[in-house]
Amino acid sequence: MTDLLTIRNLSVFAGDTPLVSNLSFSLARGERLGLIGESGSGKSLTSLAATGLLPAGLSAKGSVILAGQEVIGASDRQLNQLRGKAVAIVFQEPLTALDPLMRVGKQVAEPLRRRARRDGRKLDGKALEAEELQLLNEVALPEPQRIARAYPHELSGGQRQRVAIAMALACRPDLLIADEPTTALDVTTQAEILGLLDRLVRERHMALLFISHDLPVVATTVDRVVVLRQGEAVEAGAVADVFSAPRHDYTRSLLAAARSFDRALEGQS
Amino acid sequence: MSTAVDTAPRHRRRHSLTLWASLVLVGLHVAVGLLTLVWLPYDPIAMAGMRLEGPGPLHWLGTDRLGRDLATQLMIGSRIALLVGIGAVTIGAAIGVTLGLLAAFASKWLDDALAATLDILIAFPTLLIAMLVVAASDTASLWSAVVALGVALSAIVARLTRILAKRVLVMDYITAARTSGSSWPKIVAIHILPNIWPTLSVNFALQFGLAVIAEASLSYLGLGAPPPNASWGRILQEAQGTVYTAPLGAIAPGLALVSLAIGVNLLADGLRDAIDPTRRGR
Amino acid sequence: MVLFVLLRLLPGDPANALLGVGATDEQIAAARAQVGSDQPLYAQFLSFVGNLARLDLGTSFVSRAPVLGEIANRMAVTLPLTLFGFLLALLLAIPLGVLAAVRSNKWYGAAISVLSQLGIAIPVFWVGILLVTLFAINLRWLPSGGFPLKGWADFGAAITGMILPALTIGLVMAASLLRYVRAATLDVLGSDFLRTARALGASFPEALLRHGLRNGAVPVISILGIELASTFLGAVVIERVFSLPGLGSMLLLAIQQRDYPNVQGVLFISTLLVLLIGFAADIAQRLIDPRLRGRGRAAT
Repeated sequence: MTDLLTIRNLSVFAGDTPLVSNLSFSLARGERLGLIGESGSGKSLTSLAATGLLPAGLSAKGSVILAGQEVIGASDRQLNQLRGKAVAIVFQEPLTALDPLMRVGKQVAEPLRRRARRDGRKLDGKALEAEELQLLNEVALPEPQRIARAYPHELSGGQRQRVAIAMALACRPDLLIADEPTTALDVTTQAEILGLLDRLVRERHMALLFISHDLPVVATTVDRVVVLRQGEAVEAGAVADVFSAPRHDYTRSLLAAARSFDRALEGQS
Repeated sequence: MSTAVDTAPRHRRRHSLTLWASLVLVGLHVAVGLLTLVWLPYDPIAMAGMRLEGPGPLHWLGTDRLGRDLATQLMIGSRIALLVGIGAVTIGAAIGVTLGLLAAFASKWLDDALAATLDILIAFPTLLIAMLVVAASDTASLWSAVVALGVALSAIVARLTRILAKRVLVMDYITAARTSGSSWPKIVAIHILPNIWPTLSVNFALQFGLAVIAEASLSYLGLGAPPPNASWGRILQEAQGTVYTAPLGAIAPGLALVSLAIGVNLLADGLRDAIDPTRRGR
Repeated sequence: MVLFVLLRLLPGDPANALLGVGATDEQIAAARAQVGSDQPLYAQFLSFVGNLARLDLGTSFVSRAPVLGEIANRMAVTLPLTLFGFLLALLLAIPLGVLAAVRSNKWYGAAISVLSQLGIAIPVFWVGILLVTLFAINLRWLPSGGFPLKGWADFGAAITGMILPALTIGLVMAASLLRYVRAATLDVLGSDFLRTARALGASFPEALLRHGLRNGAVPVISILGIELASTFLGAVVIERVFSLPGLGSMLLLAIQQRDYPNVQGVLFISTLLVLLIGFAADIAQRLIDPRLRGRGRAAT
């Protein structure tokens, strides 16, 4: 099996309380999977557990094999080989996810330099700057030079998220995990960022794990979905199948809620 | 999306342990202090034995350089320390809260001036301000020390009150109360004070410990009350010269001080956790 | 800023008021005559400022020595003492604080935390007494106090005289600083940007150093400023333990002797110091944190 990410019976605990129970799914190269659920369903925790970034106090059991390496129980050093190489994450709230005291350009440069070092190249000075700007360009940021010198709080939410995506891309990961990347943005910016992600993932043949509670957003971005409810998977399958013929009650209620919302909106306009 | 989940069982266990410990420590001192109101092993100012005796069956902790029983002095010290703590904090609170509320309601110019003054005052160590007040008043008595400390503590209380009150004043329910015709004093009493009280009381608890230690320092410098109202600081000062031959005189009061201070601080921490359960452990 | 300049006037007034509280009538009269309190207030203030320009802070009532000179002498003791103590505190507090935060779940992390709790409950002079007992009296390694009459000219004796008091100050300050460092580090550890850095491949120490250091330093700097400022005069208790002729002792003595010019001089210089340190801390923070720039002082 050459799946990129294989999760088997993953459980995440806070002490004795299970937050995620017996979750299993897998993701092949170039595939796009959506993890849907309400807040508290454990979807973010899944991505953190899969990369060994669970906060202190939480523990994970089960098996997560990422690019051939078992994550659960692996040492930090082993995990560092994976993070920023096989996998990169874009988080939900770009204002806090970026270092507020560092210029944005330098923050993009960090993963760039790391990758270069791994490839055996030395990247600094003008060459580094050039690659920085090129990356900022790729995420459709206008005036990349000005942006590179700015601090996170000087940019808009959409611009910050593009920077975060640029940072993730700098790693050239095989798998991109997007944890609610558009939830903190306004609707117009959401669409732009989604389009950007879609294009980049396609162009670079990356696998995408897209985590969200927003059904229409997920529907347009991924091929398969797993529906989570209180830490358990209640349904999984191709997007078209699950959304048109949901088998589980919970999925049905989610879809119904989303539809009635749409209808209400349409009724308004 | 925050994934902060408390490991509730483990932290709660640690918390209740420290809470118990603090209650025991403070309770011990309170009990001893109350006891001294009705009973003392010896007369605190009389010579009860040989000078600088070591601990023995007659004098559990030995005697000081004038032959007075050390244990008695220590016990009285508990009472004094508690009085000092309560007194200083109360005075500090009275002055500080009043000033803070005034500043919160004052015009911008006055408020800015007050804030700047408070900032400067706070930069001076509490001990120093107390020192100034006591030295200037020319008498070394318990009362002057307490008042001095209270004054010194009031600056911090004032600043805290001001910040908290201002935060509350901009809330919607205040506007609602005003439009429904409540008078300002009533608003203060019903809305503002109850809201700022929890944070303030944690502060008071912490200041209690500070006051006790500061008073010990004052006494050590000779600005505190003499026996029979001698505090632990005074005992330490008198014991300093003879520390080689009678070390207990220097060690015991210090231990007493530390135990009370730790107890009060832990209590304050417990208080803080109680009013803000979202804190993720310490 | 303007307000601060205004407030510099204050040291004169409280000094006046304080001394007035306990002084005898003839002392008051003498003070008045010498200082010119019988003149209207603005005239007093003008002459004060005028003298200031000439770096003249007046002469002591008691010793008839120029105030500034005496202050300078005392500063030669207080300044190095405070700085040594401060440096020592930093050397102890920062690594231990970070350790306590990073390893808060291990026993030694928790132990450090407990120790710091102890540290803030201990009266500083008791630590001094204990240290004297141990090192000076029992072990006889270091002197139990005092400072050479020739001051720093007698370098060896001056240094050895400084060690124990600086150690005392350093230890106690370290305990309280440690708690702030620990809290700041804990904040950084739980921060999103640290998580991002690690998610993109940075090792834990690398992420902590590159991102955590600066972010954690911001709240700590203001505390550092406050602690440093309060130690200058607060060291008076230490000065008593170790019989050091420092600034705090000068103030205490001056108050007890109703030496108005001395009191005023010391208060003035120390206010100046406090303001300077606050200013420096402010600048340092703005240098590190770009969010604080271009907006003037943050409203408190």
